[in-house]
Amino acid sequence: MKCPLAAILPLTVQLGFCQLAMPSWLVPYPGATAEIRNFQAYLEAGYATSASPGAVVDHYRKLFESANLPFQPNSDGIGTNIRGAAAECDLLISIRSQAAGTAVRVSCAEKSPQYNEAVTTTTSRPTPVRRAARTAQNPQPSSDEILTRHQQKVAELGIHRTYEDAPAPPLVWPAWLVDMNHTHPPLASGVDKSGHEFLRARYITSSPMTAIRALYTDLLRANGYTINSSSISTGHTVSGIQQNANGHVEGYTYPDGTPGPRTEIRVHFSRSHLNDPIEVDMRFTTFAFVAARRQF
Amino acid sequence: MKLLLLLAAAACAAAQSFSQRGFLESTGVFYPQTAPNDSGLAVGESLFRYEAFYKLTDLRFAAGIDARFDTHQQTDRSLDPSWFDRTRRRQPLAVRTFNATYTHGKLTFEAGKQLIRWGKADILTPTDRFAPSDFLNVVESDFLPITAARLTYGTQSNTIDLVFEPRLTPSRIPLLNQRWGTPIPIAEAAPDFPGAPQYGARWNHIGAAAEFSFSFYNGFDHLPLFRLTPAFALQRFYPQLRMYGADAAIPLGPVTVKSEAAYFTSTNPQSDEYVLYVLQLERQAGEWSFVAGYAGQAVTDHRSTLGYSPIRGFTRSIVAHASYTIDTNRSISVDAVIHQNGQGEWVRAQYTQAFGQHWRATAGFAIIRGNAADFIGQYNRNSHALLTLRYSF
Repeated sequence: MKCPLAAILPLTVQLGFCQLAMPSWLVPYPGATAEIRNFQAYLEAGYATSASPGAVVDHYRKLFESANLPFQPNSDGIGTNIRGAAAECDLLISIRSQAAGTAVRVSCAEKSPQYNEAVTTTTSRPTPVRRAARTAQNPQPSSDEILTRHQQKVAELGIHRTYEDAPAPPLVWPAWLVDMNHTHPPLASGVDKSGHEFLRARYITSSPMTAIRALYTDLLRANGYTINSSSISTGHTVSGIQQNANGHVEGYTYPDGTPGPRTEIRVHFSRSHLNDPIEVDMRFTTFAFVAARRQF
Repeated sequence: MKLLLLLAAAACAAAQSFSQRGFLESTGVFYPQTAPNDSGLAVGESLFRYEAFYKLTDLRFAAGIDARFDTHQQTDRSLDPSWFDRTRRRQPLAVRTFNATYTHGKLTFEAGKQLIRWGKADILTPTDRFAPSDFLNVVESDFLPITAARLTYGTQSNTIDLVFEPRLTPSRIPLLNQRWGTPIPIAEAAPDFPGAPQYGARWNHIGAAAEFSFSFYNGFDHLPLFRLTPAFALQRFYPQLRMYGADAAIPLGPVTVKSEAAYFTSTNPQSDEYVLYVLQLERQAGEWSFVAGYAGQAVTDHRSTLGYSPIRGFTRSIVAHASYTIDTNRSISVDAVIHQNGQGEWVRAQYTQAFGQHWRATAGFAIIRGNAADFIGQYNRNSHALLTLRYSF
């Protein structure tokens, strides 16, 4: 599939992770550079600009008008959201005021699932006569049509498809993976016992261990990671005083869908003595996908 | 015969400690314009509320139910019970109150399903943290009861209020495929409700010159933020929230100044930290009552993700209320919220008249105007007229 947003998605295109294509006309606010993330069913571009939220909304208004799409912004009380149905994908644009400027997230999904609570303004049921008339307008499909539609669906859903090896996602530290002060600690790289390269960041904090776990659980979930392991355990002094001593949060995601290459983040936190500050150790590892060894 | 007399006497004695009340109310809401995602122009709603009270010497029991129906599927069609009011739609049969109150001297302890209101401001009350609302109709919202234990110690000048809510009751936000929701609906994933309890404390002091209070709340926001699931559906979650609040009412001759402010912090990395405040003036003149003020917001830490907050959406506004009691049976009132940037305005007028002891009719209208990118203005196709008929007993 093409990636018309090559100007702002060079990384995505080069590494072959592009499943979706953002509309070519949907450019960021002038002067801003977008950071791209891939999720199972959508692509997200995020950027910050020094322009005001009103100016950013106006920027998208012009883009939508030039693309002949209805522009329907709405406010959720916190910021402005814009939904749009472009030819390339369904769009959800979130515009949020920041201390200095505006933060923007543009999500592009192949097709939004339909709203899952259908609502009508009437509770009346169609009469048998109306139902018969509707059936006449839409006759039952033939077996050939059903078979063709079935094959199309199988192809769309990727059933029985063959899988190929895929390289690991790029080893790039996620911008949202921050420390308790919402800043980025210094990074170091390494290789684990299985030969997987990883990035690592360590820092010391005086925040409570429960707050550390809550922060990283929220961060991982909010960024599409599945939490597969999380814990806090206590230790005690010789005199019997108990305190949270160590814990961890671990999550993973398949940025290109499952099965496929995956990314894993493990945050470990611990203290050695009573009331010591806590050392937080964050590790970001990526894994290639090897299809030949798997049976589907 | 003697036995019958005794039974009758016992029944009379019991009747003195038992009381009940309720009403049956039917409302028609009429919209002159369709919305992009809702072609309905008229919505009919009916609500039957029954409340019963039984009082022993120091102990009082209260129980109440709501039975409701509407023509717009804002009320569930199934009768599945939901004690904590966490359903997306209203429940056809819901427990409104179910609590026991123990009073001993200056101490009152109330446990069970109940309504708890904090704060002094009228149109926007930032410190009212134990009062989730039903925002299916954003401008005609109603409060939802919560399940909590409340301990109140009150003297003539000081009241201390401690509240413990074991499980969050969230506010009910507009259905995404109806006129108060988003113009283009999106799928919703199952919400992520917090499991931890919340608690709060409030100290209210009535002094010679003013009445003021300080409050604290630790728990979760009853208004949601949204995260996008990997399948591109919105999932509601309720971020951790801590509030430090204060409110005051100061009588100054012709007017009373009321002020209320709350500072909200959160450990959640997606939740803003902000201050909400209200400053309003009140005046009673004969049968007239006037309230006018300003509701403001200052964000101290921007971290926002998608969310839905009518409370914040109504801030940065001039708020006003005026009412006039014509006689014991009739009254009129006007409410208005006007955003300071002029991008959104909501004005509501209502006339109420009672007929006899049991019947009351209310007619009114709300006009909403503004820009589609503004929280109030986006509902500019939702101006409506309203007619309510209530039979009380």
